[in-house]
Amino acid sequence: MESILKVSDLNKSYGNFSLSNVSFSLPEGCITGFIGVNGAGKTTTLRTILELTNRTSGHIEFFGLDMQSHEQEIKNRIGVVLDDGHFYEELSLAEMKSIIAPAYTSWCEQDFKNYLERFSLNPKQKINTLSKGMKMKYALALALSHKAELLIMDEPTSGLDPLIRSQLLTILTDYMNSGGKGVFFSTHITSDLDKIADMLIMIDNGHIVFQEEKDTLLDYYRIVKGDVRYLNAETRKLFLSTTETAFGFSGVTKKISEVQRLIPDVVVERPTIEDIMLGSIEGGKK
Amino acid sequence: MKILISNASDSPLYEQIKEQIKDAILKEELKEGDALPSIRAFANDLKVSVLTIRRVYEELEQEGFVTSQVGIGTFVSTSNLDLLRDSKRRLVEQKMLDMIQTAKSLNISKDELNSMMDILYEED
Amino acid sequence: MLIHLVRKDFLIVKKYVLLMLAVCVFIPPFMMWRIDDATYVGSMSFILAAIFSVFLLLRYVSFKENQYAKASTLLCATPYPRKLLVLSKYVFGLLIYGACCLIFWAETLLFPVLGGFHIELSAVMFLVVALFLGIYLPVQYKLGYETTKFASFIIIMASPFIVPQLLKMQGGANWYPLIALSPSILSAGAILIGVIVLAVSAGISVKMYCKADLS
Repeated sequence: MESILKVSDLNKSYGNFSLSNVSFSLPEGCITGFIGVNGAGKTTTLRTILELTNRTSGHIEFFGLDMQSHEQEIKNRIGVVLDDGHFYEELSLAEMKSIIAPAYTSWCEQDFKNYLERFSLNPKQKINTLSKGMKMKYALALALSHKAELLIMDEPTSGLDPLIRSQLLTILTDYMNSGGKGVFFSTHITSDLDKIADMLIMIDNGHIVFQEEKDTLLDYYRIVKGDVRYLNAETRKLFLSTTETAFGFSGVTKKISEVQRLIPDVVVERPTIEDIMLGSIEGGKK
Repeated sequence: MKILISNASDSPLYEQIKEQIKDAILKEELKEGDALPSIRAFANDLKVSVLTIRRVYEELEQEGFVTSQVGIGTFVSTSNLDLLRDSKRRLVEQKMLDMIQTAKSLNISKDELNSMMDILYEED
Repeated sequence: MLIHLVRKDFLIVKKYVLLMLAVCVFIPPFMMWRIDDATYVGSMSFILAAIFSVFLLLRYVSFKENQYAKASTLLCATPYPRKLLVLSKYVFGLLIYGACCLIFWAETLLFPVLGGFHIELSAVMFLVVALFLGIYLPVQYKLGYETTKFASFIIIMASPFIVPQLLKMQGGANWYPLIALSPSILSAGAILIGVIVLAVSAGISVKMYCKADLS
């Protein structure tokens, strides 16, 4: 399986924040979620791979092509949705489109019209009259109307209500079903990813924490709840993180059989992506 | 074909799916030449990742239950069926041997064992 | 591609462009009304119209780009090369100047008192416009919109003090060799210098923008 995006040892420094040796690859045919808390480095990473900000060092490859030498060709094959639109708000949807469309060699006006209709958007409307959700849909319409092979999105769902978020997920599924080769989107709303992601990459403090298939992640981690009495130096090591109250403890672990051997009477549940993410952050701080 | 995935089970998702497909083939719910759903459609319906289904199909192919043709699809292949049925039977035999050994060590007679089995078999 | 980016610049300042064109149209008649000395009417109205329209429109386009700074970021995520995003501003400025020349030329046909269209004056004004674009745009790419705005404000406020100083200093300089040159050489020279200034300035601006980290 080919990688549609391969990032190797990306480094970027800003003032007091830096990306350190960020490396990951997106397999073809997958929806990959890029998770992390605010400030973890998701947006910085996305900006850097799109050459919007300069990297200190590192290698970026799309579709097997080096980004530095094939920038235009690559950008032609990628659809981009940046958080909050990034439009000239006083223009109408049609006018903004007339600026973006000519940049792409495979622009398909019919696809665009179909998306506008599907999203109930009026091309003559001014962009600043759209709600946040409609702006995101418009951004998607623009990104998906030039036969893009890879769709990259930066926090597309933040600030949107559950209905629109679920509509977005449907659109992404349709996109993958009709020739899309991959979706890469960053978010801190992990519940969306529980449903739709195939692969997950987590970043924290500028470092990649893990890259795993979503189902594998959910298969091997467990949430364990039990009596605080049994938490000691040895048992604590088995958990990524624990929370303790007067009534018991709860923790995320990858070593469920060990836990069950050492601690009796525990309740075991499958975690959500959010549980794993939160556990991985605190684990990093230990 | 019925595939039910349990979130409460300890077994990994891909294994659950794989075993249930194998069972369907063994029980002849799926016959030689039947097409399995496309990876993406299957993943969508079961609400699992495409990578998981990909792994299921790959392992099923390795184990001889299906064959896949690039661009066309994945199809049931029963050529290895007897071998596999045999190995499943052997699994049951092995479990029975374990059961008999335990029963003997607890002094449970063959008749008692048989009546226990009658009751438990009905429970499903 | 460049054409679409230039069109973009016009799109984001649509209403202002129409306003400025109207101003270009009305300055000559206005000057004819206000100035009795016919020798200067033509040149004064042309100079004023050119400076007004180019200066103000460029400022306004920069204002809009700054207001919607994220839009250029999105454009950089498309296949549009950053180089063209920069060049479109220069082309924009020059097109405005061109429109100004055209309007003025049309008016000279209507109003003989304006004294016909002076190629020499338009060449010198081209140099002036080139100098303005050549300094304003790189400074803005380097320092950003707000700082540049502040700096130009300071300069404009200080001009009543600076200009007389400059005039005094050049009082001793020898302008005769220049004036003795034939008008066509003067015009060609002005245009040539203008083009060089623009080319150098564009090179600098492109270099700066290509290295910039976008928000």
